[in-house]
Amino acid sequence: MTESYDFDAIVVGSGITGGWAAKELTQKGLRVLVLERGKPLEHSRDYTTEHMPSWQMPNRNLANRQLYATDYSVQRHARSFDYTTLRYWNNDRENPYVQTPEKPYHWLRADVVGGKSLLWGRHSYRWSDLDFEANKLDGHGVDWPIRYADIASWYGHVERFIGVSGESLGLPQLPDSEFLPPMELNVVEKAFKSRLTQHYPKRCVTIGRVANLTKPLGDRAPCHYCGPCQRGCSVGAYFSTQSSTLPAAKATGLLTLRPNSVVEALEHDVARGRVSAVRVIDAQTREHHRYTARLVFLCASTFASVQILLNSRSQHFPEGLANSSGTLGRYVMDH
Amino acid sequence: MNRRELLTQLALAAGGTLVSAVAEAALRGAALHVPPAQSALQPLERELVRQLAELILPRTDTPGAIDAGVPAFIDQIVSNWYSPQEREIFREGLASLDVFCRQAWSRPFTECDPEQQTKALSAAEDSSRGYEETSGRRIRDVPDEQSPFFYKLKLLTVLGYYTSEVGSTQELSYDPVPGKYDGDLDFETVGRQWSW
Repeated sequence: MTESYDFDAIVVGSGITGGWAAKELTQKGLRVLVLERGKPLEHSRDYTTEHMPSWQMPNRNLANRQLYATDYSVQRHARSFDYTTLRYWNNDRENPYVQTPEKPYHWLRADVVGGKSLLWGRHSYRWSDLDFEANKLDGHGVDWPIRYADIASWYGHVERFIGVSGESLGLPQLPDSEFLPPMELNVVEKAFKSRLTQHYPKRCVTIGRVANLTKPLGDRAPCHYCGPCQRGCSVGAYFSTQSSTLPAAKATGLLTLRPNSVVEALEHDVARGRVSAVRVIDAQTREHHRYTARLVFLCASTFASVQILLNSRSQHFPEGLANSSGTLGRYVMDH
Repeated sequence: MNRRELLTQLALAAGGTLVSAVAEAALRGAALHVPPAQSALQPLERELVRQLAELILPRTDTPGAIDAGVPAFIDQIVSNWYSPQEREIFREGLASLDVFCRQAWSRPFTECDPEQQTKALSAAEDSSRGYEETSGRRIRDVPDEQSPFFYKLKLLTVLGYYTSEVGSTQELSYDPVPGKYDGDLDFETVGRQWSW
């Protein structure tokens, strides 16, 4: 039987994980479709507030109270939400969800190509075996099936590409990354470090390990220390899908990026026992589309990925895909 | 390399006309003293705001509130951003300064000498003492709508001044693209606090 798919792989979501999936798969020669529910956003060109001074902002960046109340009632709680980043965030009026008054929850969502990789905090730390074994040592839960040694080389694979600046210390509890030069502690921090280590020789003070470049990396320039990363960095000095993984995927010529694509459900091929198609509603035209692929990577964020699985009901999976136990959607921890 | 060159280079590196436009505008500056198209203040109230802002931040060896366009900013926020309740508190506060001056010196605030004006403003400050902000939320989101007049006036004056181009570049030191990080910079090389 000959099968023809629209793509070799479909990646749902263009945030940090989706961008990485797109990069890895296209560089292995696969034809990849990335589906992003948010709006198009062009790296550099569309960071229109990047170095905007306060006196050019509407009302000096005081909140647009009416708009924030009607359209951004959830996203306004994000630390980096303001006039300069507004267009990256989800419109809560157009994307409502149910919250119980007893347990309200702020579901922070991006709504552009690049997703929350544009808005993230950029701190990047390796876990150690203390983390992987913590619950086992405490006698809780199920032992994790992996240890630090299993993924140490993959940490390096990612770090070399995204660029992580930091200081090598050889600490067992916080393994060193493959670092770019660290940013310098300031004079106050140095004084604090010196006093602390006088009194507590084993305690450690070190600069944050961040995905901000301190040296050029490929086409990306080092940090110029302007401050508000979350507005977007036109020279790509911090890691985002937009600054690094997406350009790499595009460079292969094998990437198709489709913004405004809300994934309705995944289709499960019973005969082959795997997902074989993705159903999409265009956010602008409301048209339905269906794309087939040999592989599907669901990288739509914690809750949205769960939502898509729960919406993927079929005769075989009446409660949603990967939910035969009824556990899907419970015990979820967002990030 | 100076800031202009660096901004230009960054704009070129980004290859974007918009980025370049933003950088250019940052260097050029924007109109200062234009009052809002829709002002809720009467001419006398506007004059009062002008004198009060300058009283709080007078021109010294650096520009004052009027130089920095603070009165137009206050007018805009009071007229077009404040809630009706905030606007009422603010306008009542302006009126009460006039009442204070008429009772004490039989003339309106705007005709008092600076010493009398300062006394009137100090009285407004005293009457707001003991007030504590009930809202811990950040200023740029939702400041406490109930705060008394003096709080509102001082907040708008200081905010308007330090976010203005004049305040940011002349009273403070403005460098949107430092290009490097120096954790132990000699203060004398800058001489002023950085704006942001």
